[in-house]
Amino acid sequence: MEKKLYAEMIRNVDDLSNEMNLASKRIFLFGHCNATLELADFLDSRGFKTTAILDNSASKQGINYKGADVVYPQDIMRMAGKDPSTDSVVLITSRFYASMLIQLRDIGYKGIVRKVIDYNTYAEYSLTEETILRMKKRERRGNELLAALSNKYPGQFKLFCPLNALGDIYFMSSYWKSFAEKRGIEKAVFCVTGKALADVIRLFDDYPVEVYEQKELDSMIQSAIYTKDKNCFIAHQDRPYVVNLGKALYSKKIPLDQIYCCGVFGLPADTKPETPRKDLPEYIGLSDIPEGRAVIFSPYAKSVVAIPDKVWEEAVVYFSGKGFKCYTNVIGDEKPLVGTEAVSPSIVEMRSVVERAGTFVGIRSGLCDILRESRAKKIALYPDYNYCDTKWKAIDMYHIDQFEYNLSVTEEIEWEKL
Amino acid sequence: MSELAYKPEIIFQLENLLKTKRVIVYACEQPKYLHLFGKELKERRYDGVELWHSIDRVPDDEILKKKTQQQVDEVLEMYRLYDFSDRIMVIDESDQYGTLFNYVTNGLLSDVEMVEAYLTDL
Repeated sequence: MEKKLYAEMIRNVDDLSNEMNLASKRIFLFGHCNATLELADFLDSRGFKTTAILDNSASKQGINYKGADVVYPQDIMRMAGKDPSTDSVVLITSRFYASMLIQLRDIGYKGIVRKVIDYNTYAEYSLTEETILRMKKRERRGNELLAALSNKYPGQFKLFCPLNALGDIYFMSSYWKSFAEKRGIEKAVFCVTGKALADVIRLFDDYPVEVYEQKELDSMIQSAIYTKDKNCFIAHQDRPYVVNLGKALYSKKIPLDQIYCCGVFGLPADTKPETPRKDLPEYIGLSDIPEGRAVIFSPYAKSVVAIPDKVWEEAVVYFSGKGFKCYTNVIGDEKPLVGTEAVSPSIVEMRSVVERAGTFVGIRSGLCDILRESRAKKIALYPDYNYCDTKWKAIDMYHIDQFEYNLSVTEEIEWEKL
Repeated sequence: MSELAYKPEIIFQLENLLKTKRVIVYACEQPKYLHLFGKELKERRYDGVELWHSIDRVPDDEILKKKTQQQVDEVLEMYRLYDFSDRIMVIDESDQYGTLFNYVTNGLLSDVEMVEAYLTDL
């Protein structure tokens, strides 16, 4: 989860905790997804126990996360205590807050229902005059930003990347040239929500990139949709709400890179993706890393369920025991794993570090996509979770052929066998 | 770009209808898939869905509802302004983003599979 959203979640839960004795309530979370699991982790860290996770999906029933079973929403009426309206509370991280609230009230649940994150500036399930006017104002703001962008890059095609996710940007960039050729696009400006994303695009070429705040970019995209701007494209597989590609995943397993190739860009399935360019800058501290005798660990990822500490501890012990110097890739206030040193190369320098070290072990995240073509022994660890609300596991959707090992962390890893 | 009237009559109708039904708006120019969607919805015996379109010579029934082009345009204009309901879905072949039609073009889905995908969470 992005830091800003996580901070918003903490704030909202703390506010709620100040309003009532949250510890005395039976806490239900609605919607089994990564954000909900992060909320469960946060509640746990505060000493609050999640009673159950409500979900309408039959395939999710019976999943247990840290003592909380996934159950159908109607089960709340038998689980919420003698007086559900005072004994319980429902917390929601999903954009479907409004429909979830309606469903709970239809079931007869009268307790507190609180949205703890506002993920989605595109959605407001209301047609009141006030809402429509506010949305029109938002669209106009977006239109002004689009006009300014067009002034800066006259005549250029605009490509929008609505989500802050390294892997999505990587796939988008790798198929961009083929798409541009198909559409006859000569020059384009890319619009993203962070510098790191701009760096991912520049792994491929020196494209012009503009960085916006998320809400600004959302309003620009909304305006482009509203005005049916033909000189732009929204390059994402499930954002914003007009994109329905994810629905195919309920019946068919389509790995993420194929979603971008075939779904987002409409390219033939055998289209060869571009790879990052060879002439990328090197990390300044490269000579300190023992060549071929080091391991770069990457245990952190904002939008992925965490892997138990024990897995990393055992990995560090194993590689250290074999004489490898161990590093942890960290950003901001992330801490290196015990027994390792911190290293913080930029996105464009990352490949030089991994190739110098010789071995990379990382939680499956967008960083692994950036390192796909790196010449090193690469091991991706997949937490055991389903992709969104589909039946496919993360390892099904994000498998990297170029990695020597793609391991699902469901049982102990025998490092000596790798 | 047209100036949207505050709330066209069709939006009032839609707002009321969405309290009890879901609405699918077929916004493609070709009628080819309209029949497939209608057929699939009837086979599943959905009585909580209406399929709106503006294609001529397609008779109304309990699911298929012909609207004027202006009415469809007004609904689509509101839809493009923001995501105002999770009970409405638009089927279109936009050039601005990827659609499920792409999967049919490149062979990952058949026509029927694409229609089924659209109707998955009804």
